[in-house]
Amino acid sequence: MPLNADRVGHSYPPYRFEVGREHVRAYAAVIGVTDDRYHDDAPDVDADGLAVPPAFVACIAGAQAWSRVMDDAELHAHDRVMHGGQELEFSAPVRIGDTLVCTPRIADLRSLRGMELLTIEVACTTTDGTPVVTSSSRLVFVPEVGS
Amino acid sequence: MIDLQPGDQLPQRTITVDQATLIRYAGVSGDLNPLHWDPAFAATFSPTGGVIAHGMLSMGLLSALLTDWLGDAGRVRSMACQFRAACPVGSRVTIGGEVAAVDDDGDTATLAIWVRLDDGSKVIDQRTSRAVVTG
Repeated sequence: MPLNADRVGHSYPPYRFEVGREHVRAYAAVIGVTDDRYHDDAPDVDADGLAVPPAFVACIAGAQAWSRVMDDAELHAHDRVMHGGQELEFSAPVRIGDTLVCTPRIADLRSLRGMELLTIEVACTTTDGTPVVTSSSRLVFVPEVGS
Repeated sequence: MIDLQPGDQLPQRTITVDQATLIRYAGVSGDLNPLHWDPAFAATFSPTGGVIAHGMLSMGLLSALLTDWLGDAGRVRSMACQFRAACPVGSRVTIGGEVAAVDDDGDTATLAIWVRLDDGSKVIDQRTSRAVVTG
């Protein structure tokens, strides 16, 4: 069953994301950040306010947004999916200690060579609504052979 | 004024993206797509027929390079990456970039950023992938 183009423009309920020091530390270790400030665990180190590596936004705008999209019974998303492209636009840096309010939205759907390209946008703001970062993910859905 | 000139090169990094890396990335990011850890699932539709790395891991490697090179991750205003060639599990990748342009005001620079396999395949293609940074 193809994805439902009528869902383009649909927004999902916002969720709250707290940017935690240990989460950023674990992320920085996997991607190979060498700056000591991301790794220092001495008891007197306060990392609050340290800007996160930009692609950490994948953690903020990823799993929770994705679960809302996959749970949308009207969209017909499925798990044969790859990531085709990604944009991040910062109005302000994301910092350790921030609390963000994140609203996913289906921004676009188009077909290309038998595949379906779905763009999911996640707008992240402060708790008082000031824009911080917008993530735009282009996902490539591969249909089942014979479907 | 920004302290960058067109043509400035980012220091390159080379790393091997093995299965342990992909599992760690899945855990930390919450991206649990079995395309990145289950060979049987990946065989059904992966472009390589096998497990491939997360696009966002490649973008993350670039993000780490930018964070260290700039000295302040908060200088990154935007990043845009197109994921081209698949990165098979076990691949060695090299990441890098260069300053493509400095704006007329001298306040921001646009970097062309890339990730390549040893055979030259472009996982992230510098012709279409950019980071905009401030001074």
